[in-house]
Amino acid sequence: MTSPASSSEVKYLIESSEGNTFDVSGAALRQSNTFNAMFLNIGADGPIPFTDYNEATLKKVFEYCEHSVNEENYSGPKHQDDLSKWDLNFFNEMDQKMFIDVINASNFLDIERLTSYCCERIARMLRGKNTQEMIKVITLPTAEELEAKQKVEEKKAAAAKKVAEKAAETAEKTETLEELPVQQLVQTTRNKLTRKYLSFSNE
Amino acid sequence: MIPKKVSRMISVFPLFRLPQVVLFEVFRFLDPNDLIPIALCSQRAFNLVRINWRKSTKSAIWMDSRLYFGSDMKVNDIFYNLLTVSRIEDVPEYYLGLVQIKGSKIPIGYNRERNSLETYWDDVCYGFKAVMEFITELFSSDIHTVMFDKNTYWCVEWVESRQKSLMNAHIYRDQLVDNIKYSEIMNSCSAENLMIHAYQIGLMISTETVFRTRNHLSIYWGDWVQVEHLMNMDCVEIEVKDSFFKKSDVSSFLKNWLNGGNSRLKYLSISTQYIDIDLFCQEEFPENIVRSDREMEYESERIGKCKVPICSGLKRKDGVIAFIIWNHRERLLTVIMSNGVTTS
Repeated sequence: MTSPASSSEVKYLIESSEGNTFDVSGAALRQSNTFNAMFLNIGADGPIPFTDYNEATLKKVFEYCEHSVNEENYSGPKHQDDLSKWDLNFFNEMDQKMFIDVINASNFLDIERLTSYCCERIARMLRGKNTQEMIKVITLPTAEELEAKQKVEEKKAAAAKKVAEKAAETAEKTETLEELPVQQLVQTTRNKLTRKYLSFSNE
Repeated sequence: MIPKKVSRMISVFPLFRLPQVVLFEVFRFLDPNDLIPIALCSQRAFNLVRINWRKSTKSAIWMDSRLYFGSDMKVNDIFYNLLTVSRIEDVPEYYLGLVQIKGSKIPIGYNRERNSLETYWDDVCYGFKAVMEFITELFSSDIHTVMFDKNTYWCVEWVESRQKSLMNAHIYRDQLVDNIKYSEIMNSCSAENLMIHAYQIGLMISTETVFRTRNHLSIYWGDWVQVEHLMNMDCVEIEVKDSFFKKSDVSSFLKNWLNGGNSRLKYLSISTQYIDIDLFCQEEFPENIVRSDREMEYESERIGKCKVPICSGLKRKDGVIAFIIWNHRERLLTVIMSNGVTTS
């Protein structure tokens, strides 16, 4: 099932975050430098756990690797116009969440070609945008939002300060009580009890 | 009053939630001018661009104050317009928004003519300095070249005050600069390479003036330059155009060089009267004359590539040869030293 063989016929079992397993060819896996460093020479006795990533993401990543097994050696990212129909479909059918998951997995598995293609796509999306568009694209708070956030922070800080001051006051009072000499406390209690006893006797 | 900004629908992408390695890779695909809008988003975005941008050894920041105040980056002979600076009165009707640069919140717009993002300031000089500080900090580089005109020499002085050295200073428009300003530029500018494309009628600079040591000095409209000036210019490369050197001047200069003067000189180009080089060398320097046996090449950042044809030369005691070429079309005499020849 899993062996340290170099033949492309050998299949490896991959385990996803859900605990599911699926097959990937050795040739496809060898595009991952992480795999090469960890398992290629020593082999794996059971499924290879890539449990930080879900099954759909891993399948997508290895779908790319399986497809590019027979491609020429990687020599930098392709220009958009040079992408094959398959490549275009591969990227276009992903939603943003899947795209980000694929980048993260590809980065972890150190699959140079796929990571580069993804990065080139992001760069293309960012090119030619002005700052205001960029703020929206990269989901950064705008200057106004930052100001509003700062005001909220200031209010929070003021509220926290008030709470702290109150707490300090209470602590001060407690401290005063705690600091009373024991003998004095005993005397005060005795006096109270005596007064109570006397009033009881009088009745 | 500042007009309302424009906006359009765009999809979002959590760029700064990507792993650092991926972000670094994304920035690798972006040109310097694409990074400016990202860096202007916030202080955090600025820091991330600064950390993740891969500095090229062939990138140079230019501060250009000729026609307008602009910052550019030159990478491998390609110019990228980064940010320009204009007066607040020039804010267009549809500006893009407000950005924060070095503590000032200012409007930003897009200038189609200059193909650049443009910032608008109450005080443009202050704004230009703030923009240049922003750029140099973002790209972790000093200013490489200052292009200035007769009214903006302060740019050179400001750059000199904030960094250890300046590579190029270039007054680039054929302007009439007053005598005092001209001398000030010549003597006080500490740039390694100084190019003066300005003129001054009747300029008087004492022949005993000791010029600053620098790598390259170009003087256009060099009618004031005399051979004594040339001998006092301690440079690797000297170019003087529109000068009026005679054969006797060239002879004096070469005698001085043969005796160890202008020891660092590797390239000299001056406007002279017609000189038959072979005859001149035979008559004036019969003991030093040699002839090259092959074509050679001289190459430098300022001069570019320059062919050295088979020609006569003068050999100094230490073995260095000065190859002398006369360019009939441009009426220029060029002297290239054998220790400066890059290929043969």
